[in-house]
Amino acid sequence: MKTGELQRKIGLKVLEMRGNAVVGYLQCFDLEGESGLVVRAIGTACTLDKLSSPAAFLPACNSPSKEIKEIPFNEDPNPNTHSSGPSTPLKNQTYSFSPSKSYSRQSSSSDTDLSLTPKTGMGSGSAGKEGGPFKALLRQQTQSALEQREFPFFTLTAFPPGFLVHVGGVVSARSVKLLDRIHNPDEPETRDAWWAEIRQEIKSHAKALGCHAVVGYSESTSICEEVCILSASGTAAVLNPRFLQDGTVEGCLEQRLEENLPAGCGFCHIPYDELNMPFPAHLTYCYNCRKQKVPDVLFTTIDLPMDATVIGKGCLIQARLCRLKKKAQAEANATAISNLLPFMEYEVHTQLMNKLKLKGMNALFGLRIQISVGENMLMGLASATGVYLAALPTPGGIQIAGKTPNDGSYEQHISHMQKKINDTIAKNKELYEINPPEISEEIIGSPIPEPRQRSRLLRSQSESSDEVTELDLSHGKKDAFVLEIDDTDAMEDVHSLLTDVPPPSGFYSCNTEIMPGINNWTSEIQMFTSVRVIRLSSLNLTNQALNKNFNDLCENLLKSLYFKLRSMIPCCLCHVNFTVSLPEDELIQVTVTAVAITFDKNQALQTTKTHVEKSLQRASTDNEELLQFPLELCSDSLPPHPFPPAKEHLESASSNSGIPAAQRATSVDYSSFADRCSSWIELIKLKAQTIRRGSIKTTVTVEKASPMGEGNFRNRSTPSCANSTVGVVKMTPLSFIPGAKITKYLGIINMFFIRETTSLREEGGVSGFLHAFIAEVFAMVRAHVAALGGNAVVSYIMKQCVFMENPNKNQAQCLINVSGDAVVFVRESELEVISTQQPAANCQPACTGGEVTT
Amino acid sequence: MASELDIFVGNTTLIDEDVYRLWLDGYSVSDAVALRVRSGILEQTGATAAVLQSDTMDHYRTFQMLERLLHAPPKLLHQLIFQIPPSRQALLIERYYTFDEAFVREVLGKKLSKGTKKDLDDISTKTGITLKSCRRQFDNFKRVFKVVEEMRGSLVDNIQQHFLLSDRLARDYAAIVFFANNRFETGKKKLQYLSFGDFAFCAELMIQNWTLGAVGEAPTEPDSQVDDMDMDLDKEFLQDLKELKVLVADKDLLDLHKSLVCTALRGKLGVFSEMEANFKNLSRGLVNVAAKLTHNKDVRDLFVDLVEKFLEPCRSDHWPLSDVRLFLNQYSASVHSLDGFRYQALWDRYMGTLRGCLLRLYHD
Repeated sequence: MKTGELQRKIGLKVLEMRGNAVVGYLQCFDLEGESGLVVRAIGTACTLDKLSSPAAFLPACNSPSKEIKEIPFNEDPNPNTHSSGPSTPLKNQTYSFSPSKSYSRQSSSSDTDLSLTPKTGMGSGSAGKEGGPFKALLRQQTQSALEQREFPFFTLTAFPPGFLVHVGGVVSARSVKLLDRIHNPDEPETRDAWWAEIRQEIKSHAKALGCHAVVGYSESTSICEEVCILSASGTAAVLNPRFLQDGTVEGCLEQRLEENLPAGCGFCHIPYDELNMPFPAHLTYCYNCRKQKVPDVLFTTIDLPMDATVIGKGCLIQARLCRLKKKAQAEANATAISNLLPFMEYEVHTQLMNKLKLKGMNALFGLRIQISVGENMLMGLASATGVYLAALPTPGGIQIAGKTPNDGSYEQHISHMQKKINDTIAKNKELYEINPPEISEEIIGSPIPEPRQRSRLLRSQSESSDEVTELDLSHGKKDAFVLEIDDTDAMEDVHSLLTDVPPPSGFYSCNTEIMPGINNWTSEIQMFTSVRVIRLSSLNLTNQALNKNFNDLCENLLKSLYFKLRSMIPCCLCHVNFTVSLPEDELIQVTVTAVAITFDKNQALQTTKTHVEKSLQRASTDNEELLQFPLELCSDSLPPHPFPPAKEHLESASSNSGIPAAQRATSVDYSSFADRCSSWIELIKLKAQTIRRGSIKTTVTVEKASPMGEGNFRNRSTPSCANSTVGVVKMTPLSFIPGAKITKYLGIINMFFIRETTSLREEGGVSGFLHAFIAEVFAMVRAHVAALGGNAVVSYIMKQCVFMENPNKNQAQCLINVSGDAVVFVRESELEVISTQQPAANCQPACTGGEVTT
Repeated sequence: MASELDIFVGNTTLIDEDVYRLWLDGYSVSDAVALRVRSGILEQTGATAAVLQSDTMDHYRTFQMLERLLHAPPKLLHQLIFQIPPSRQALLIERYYTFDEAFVREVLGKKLSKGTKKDLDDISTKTGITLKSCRRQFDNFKRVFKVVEEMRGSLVDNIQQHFLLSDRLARDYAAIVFFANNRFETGKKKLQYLSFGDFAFCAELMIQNWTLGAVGEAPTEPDSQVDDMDMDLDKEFLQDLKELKVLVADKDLLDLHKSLVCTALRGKLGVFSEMEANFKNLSRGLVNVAAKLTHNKDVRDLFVDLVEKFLEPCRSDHWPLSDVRLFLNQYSASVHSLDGFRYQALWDRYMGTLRGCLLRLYHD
């Protein structure tokens, strides 16, 4: 209910900004406990325009305007409001807005909208799709410079070529807050102020890096009792001003062609002043164009830009960390957490750096650092995809230095470890096919020693403005990254470096949309969710033991995934999304959602040649992602039409009579549309099985009672149920489906489930309970999409999976929130057939988008 | 560090055939893990025992959830919870309903009741099949029986339609249901040499020729609760079989029959003299079996009688199978030349099936 209202609010906000769509929509629930339930959402407003003339090849420039609005509001205590709202997600789409229904909440949050909405610089934007019906036309609007905006943020992670001029690095901010200090918990002002503070900080970090915008921006919270950690992170960047100013597609394209930017390295060049760097960093001339300076490592939260030149393949890199903390109350607790945070950030960062070097790589994309707070510990989990960017220098090795050099056996131990590390680096380089071309130093112009470096990770806490990164980390000039083993902690670090087992051969993994260096995907995809909870033995817990447990948990989870999906080899786990939570004192819960995609090994060898081509193909899919918009926008303009997309498509499909199975298969059997809806409702009402069992029985009795001769029965030799009526719905966390073209977006799916059991043992314990629940969640999402006439869910994400149990009472509860975009896709092979037979067919879906603008 | 909860859910449900087999065979998770370790899977994949344990648990959980759907296979096709490709669905169903030869021989012809279920412990010990697997197989038999019991029409078709089994398996189930319904004795020591395939073959012939459905005529009153078409033997037919007694009761007819057969087979049979000496006994045996079929108890002993009265005498005289075939062909055919015998059609209906059965059953 709340989500529907929130979406409508955002919709209004966008209209106010004269945009017509929201892309990169992120919605979160903060389960604050006593102080309430907060629904937060951020997105990027943009304007989608109908394409007048389909351009042949280039994806249109799109300039999503900016992150705009955030509307937190509290659970309305009035139960009437609950009942009056849409009760099922299905209804959400037909819901016509009636102001009386949610008046109270409307008023409570509208003020904050205003306070947070930048008055200046309403963005405009557009998105286009290659060959598709949409083409972006930049809508002329009053435009002030991006820098003047209050929060120049973009929630998107992928952009059209040329949009990113420079990327500075990751900027992040965290803040520890006490929820019981909210003066008026039912009103959002306090929380708005908190977030405004954090955004302000992010903005200032970006500025310090010489950047005027933040891309790949996201916000998250971790709550334990009354303590709440608010986190935000993004990637500071300099955007192409031409994309942001007025102009049309043509203008943009021209300008981009005029600009003779070196391909594939521009975004790596530093945006800040070399002489006035915000932090000590080591710069070299770009290995690609050799004109501009680049840092030695680059950390970002965005996906790999499609024009970036990458050597070899990428891999998932994780840093994991636990820190014990004393149980405390209120302020003391918040202080303890605040004190721990900088050290955790530092260690997470060091781990990432070490692991990156160990892999022989020099850049991280899709970095996501999650800090979770529990009663007696803090957990940090950072995931990113490491790659070797051709423009950046070759990373140096890792050197181990002991502290007591005179001890012989110790020396031996050190040298043994050193050897192991060197071997690992060599092995990894081979594994990920990292063979950068040798470049002699004269050409580059400056000698490149490999001093130890820090990346662009800025962290800070709102409580203390002094930046942690100001710690001097350089121990003088050394030829490689040096690890000093001076205490058990460091020892443990080195060990953990070496215990990370690489995936079995034929397996790759990354947390970005797709794996850099692999382009020849097949259409075989398998999305999955895996949940693990471990109980720590409460006695004598040390940081080391905790770290080891957590590390093992994650490693074992990954190993299990590799094992389970072994039949898909060669394949890549894409968009691996780990979520850690600490539901109870001694429990750690890790939830992973990812998609395994098989690729064609034979073609893999030729990837380098086709790289550019393929990446351009990807561009189109990226832009398709930008076309997603919440259906609310649609239903505002078309309230009486419950399922416009499906019907329209049906018409277009039926008009294509004579088109073979290809088309029919994708238009998913609309005749049984009603059946599907009803069966879905059945499913929700109660265990569908019981209901259907009944219905089957009835048919049996009918048969028996019928006076038909036996001959009729005899003739029915083939089982009547042999052909299943259940259509296949694909699900993926990615924005595209390999080997297929998305022909239609049917809107956002946002579903919220709560399941409770009082017979936990009978349902197979906690595992049985959650297994069945998640399977049902998938089924309901699929059924919902099928009911809308779609055949896939893209950008699927499980945003929340809160599990609580009480085995003594034989009870458990679980809350799950998932979302994604319902789409219709057509296999590329089938598409060709259709387009040759009826070229107009593709234009049909375009009109839906067009209607939104009217 | 204890794993409290550990699950994996795929959008497409993962089915591991090997684990499915272990589950069907009734192994516990730990036994299954041990067996998988022994298969060398750890070496092949580089996985650890913990990974294997977690994987096995996951699969077992999935199978348990699928089991209630497998009890009514059309539900598996129409359910929405598990997205399973059709080929996999077929595999799941087929494997679930596949049974062990050793097990089916133990329960074939027994009443599928609670009493029999109690004996499963002994069967499990005897056959070495886990009790769990025995229960599944027994419950499958019983379930199929219950569903098709009251149904009209072809037994095989009914089974196929309601359980989506392959043709072969549906036929086997038809045999099991037929045997259970008629309670044919198959457990006697004398019958131990016979395989399930032998009985299934006979069942199929009997269903085709001796049941009401075989006659191909609809019951006169549609609403009358007549016997099930394919499950029950045609009572009228069994009554009529008494008439065949004349073949052995009438001495002249018997002698004539004998001379006809002997004339035709002279020189063709390796065991001619034995046949000649035994003719009356054999013929008496076959005809008496027919005449007795009016009583339920004798119907149950059909196979015992056939073995005692015909197969054993032949075997003790070392008749080769080809000779048995020649004899039975001639024995059946010669009756047509007996002028005084009026029940030719009845004879053919009886002997046609019996001949097929006897030939199949005649082996070591």
